[in-house]
Amino acid sequence: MVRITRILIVLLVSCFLVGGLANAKGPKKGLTYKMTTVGKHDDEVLGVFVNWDNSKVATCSLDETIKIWSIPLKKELLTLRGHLGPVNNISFSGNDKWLASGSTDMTVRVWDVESGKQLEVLKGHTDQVIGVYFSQDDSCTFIASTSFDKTVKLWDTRLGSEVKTLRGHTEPTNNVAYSYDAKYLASCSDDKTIKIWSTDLHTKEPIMTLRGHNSPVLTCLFSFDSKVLASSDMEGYIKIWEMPSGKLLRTIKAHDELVQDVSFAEDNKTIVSASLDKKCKLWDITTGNNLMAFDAKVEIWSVDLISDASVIVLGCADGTVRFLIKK
Amino acid sequence: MKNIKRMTVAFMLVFTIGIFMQGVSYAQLIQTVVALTGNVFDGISKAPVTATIKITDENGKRVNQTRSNAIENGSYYVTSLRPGNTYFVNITKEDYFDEKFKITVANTDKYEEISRDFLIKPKAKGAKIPLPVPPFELNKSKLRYGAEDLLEGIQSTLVNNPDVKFEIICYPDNDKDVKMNQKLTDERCEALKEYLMANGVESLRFKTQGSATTDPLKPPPTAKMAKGKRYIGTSYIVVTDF
Repeated sequence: MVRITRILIVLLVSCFLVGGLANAKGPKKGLTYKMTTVGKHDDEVLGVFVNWDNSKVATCSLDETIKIWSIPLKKELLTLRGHLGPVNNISFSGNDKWLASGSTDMTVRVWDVESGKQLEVLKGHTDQVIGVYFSQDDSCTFIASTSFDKTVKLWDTRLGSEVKTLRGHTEPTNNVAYSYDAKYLASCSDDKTIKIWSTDLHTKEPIMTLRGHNSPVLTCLFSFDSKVLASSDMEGYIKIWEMPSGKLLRTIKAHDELVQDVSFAEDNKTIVSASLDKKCKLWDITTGNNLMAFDAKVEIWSVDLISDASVIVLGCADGTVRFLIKK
Repeated sequence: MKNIKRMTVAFMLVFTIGIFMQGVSYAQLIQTVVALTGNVFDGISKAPVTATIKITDENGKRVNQTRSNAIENGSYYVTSLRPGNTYFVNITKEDYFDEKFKITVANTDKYEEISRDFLIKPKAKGAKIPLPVPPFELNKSKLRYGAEDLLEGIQSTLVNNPDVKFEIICYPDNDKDVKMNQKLTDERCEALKEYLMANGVESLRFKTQGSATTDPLKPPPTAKMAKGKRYIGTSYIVVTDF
């Protein structure tokens, strides 16, 4: 009887342990990646953006250039020069024809992706430009930008005109994102908040302010179905918000250092994050589970991935652009 | 005969309208009016400013006038601008430089208003006006490619305010070598001096001063951050007299 009881206890404990491990936040086995360096900027890589059809990735750097790379060929296609300072961020237009960039030289510039020709120089910010995001709708008319001047500005690229300035953040604004349904803009700031704005040209007040981060919010990004917003901060936390309600769904202590960048996979529930703690991680935002953790052994400023997460692109502090390729 | 006359007149009329409409956009034809809105801030403190804003056309004719309101974060709103036209925004305020900004209104009837913020520079003895974007590359003293774009604003302010005397002060990019820093910043001052002299600013109006140590008002960053991390020593125009 005692033996049976012991066996039962051992079985119960085993079941508990196995079940517990399955629900743990640590990386699951089976999802492995191999890292390859595809090229190098002359200085730290600050931004990475994969285009809509997953064929190209653009990177920008402290070296004042933008580079466009072929994802299938794993090689550099173009180097774009024109900015008069470090290029802080980049974004492809929804139709993949144009690229927007924002720089310390206080300008937003628009480039032709095929030829690399500079098409527009948009001047109006009164301090360095930190974030840019091209509208992802069919028209691809608008670019949103953020700056150390604490504003979010909206530009009509066809006319080369500044059409709206959004004020409300009390500290420098760090990054900005369009929702894919083209209804909303999200901006995040050193003031520890995220503000949601209407893309309607007449409304200048924020629709809502999302509070919950305890340190400057470095980035924010909508999922492809526009139903979720992810944000990351200086202390390594990622927060997941339900949209358009603004309800906080989940907080993940993702990294030991600041998380400058996150990105969504096409399933709208997997996100990738990268950090100065040298790790790149995949997360299931519905459970908070860590699906993969990769030690790149170099500080990572920026990250993006192709839609099915089979290739992850890293922009690193040593100037390298690296691909993590799913085995 | 009467009909032929009528047809000739109608044809002439259509022909004349056709010629008139060439190069005239729909927006101009229906006389669309666009408003300009934004805020005016102090170029050093970034505090909102109440200032007079006069809009003139390319021929110097006054189009409209308004005031920014410091209580409402320096906001202003001025209308009567026509799509496709270029205007000058003249901003004046006591103890500030007279400033003139060029704007071109997009040739479309799509927008009722466009946006633009302005920074104006204080005109007070000792006012230390920073060059917003460094015209030098890291550890270099030659004006960088494209520096004329970055210096256009301060150059035009100094040309439009010829009574102002000033000093150019340049700071280095780090505190590693005092001797090298002095050499670097003296050379940077010289490069700025030559640029201003070549662009309409008399050399008698200003002196230069290079610094061997970094800017105490804007020291090199120590915190880990991606944006704004490249530090290039600040250059200032310091008002000494007017």
